[in-house]
Amino acid sequence: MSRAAEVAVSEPIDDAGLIARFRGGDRRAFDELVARHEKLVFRLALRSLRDVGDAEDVTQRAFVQAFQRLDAFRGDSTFRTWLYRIAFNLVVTHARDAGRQRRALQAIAPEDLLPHAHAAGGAEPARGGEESARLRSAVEKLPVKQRLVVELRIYDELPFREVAQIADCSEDSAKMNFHHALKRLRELLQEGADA
Amino acid sequence: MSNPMPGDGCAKFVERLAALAVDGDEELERHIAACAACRREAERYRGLAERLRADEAASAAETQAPAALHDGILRAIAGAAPGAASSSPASTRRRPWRWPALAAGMAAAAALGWLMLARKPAPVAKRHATPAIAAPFEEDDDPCQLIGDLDDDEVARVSSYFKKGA
Repeated sequence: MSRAAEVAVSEPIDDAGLIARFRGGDRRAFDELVARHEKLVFRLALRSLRDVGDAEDVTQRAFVQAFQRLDAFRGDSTFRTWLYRIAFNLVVTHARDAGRQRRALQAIAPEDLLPHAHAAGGAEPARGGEESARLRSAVEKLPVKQRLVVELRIYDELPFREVAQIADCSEDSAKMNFHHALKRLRELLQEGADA
Repeated sequence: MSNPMPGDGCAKFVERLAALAVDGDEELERHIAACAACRREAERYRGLAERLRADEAASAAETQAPAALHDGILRAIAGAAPGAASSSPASTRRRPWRWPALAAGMAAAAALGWLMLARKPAPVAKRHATPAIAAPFEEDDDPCQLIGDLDDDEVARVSSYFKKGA
């Protein structure tokens, strides 16, 4: 167990309390925030980027940005929601840059570079099971916002109120996007089963 | 895949059924106790959500975060200053070419300004005819501005439609 995690066990304190400590000059309080949220941010990044190195890089950058901007955090949402938004913006930017790089590589020598480009940016993680592959493939076909809402609600088990804050929409909109996402997933899985 | 037609009382759930089913919404639970069509749909959505959750749990167990992740983050933070989001350390470094570059920039701006003043200005209406297009996907952009699924207006329209129909 890390030192920061040990602190959490001996002195349970919520994120807001840690932020207050950090603002009071206790820089180690931020280490505890990192320990609490690093795995979730990493999973969020890995699900979208599908590359451990890229996900690690995005996770690091998300925490650095949070660290640098913590003074501007007003507490309108939870720290987790705020951090997730930072991470999601970085994922979108990273995916865009990777896509641009891949397109440039493909324009040079498509036959030679395509497999390499896939390995760099879109490799399928080593995962077993046809069922799993079918589910993943269907989720990836969802529009970005619907996919985000499904991932946050089901994978990260966040309440719709928080999902809505991260997706920057109303709670009702988050619920409706979730409904349409699951409806679409059922259709996609059914199509796959029929094929 | 066929969806059952909503009956009386179903309309208020039809666009959110999956979300309410996963949440175990009390009002929906009361409704599906008496409505077989919605109950069947709710069970399907719950089943799918459970499959997704189980798959993610298996995936998370297979793909652990790297052991060095925590230390890597702390190292990266150690090299960053709090409140320094907009100014990198490099920007405060002394640069010998800074003043000549600034002077050249000001001269170029003055020349550009003179050229613009010398030209006849375009009619106001014409200048506003083409709206500026924001550069997409900037780091601080709101990602949801880039995503056109169901925005709040559309949600409101759909809601009012179903309220009318209910």
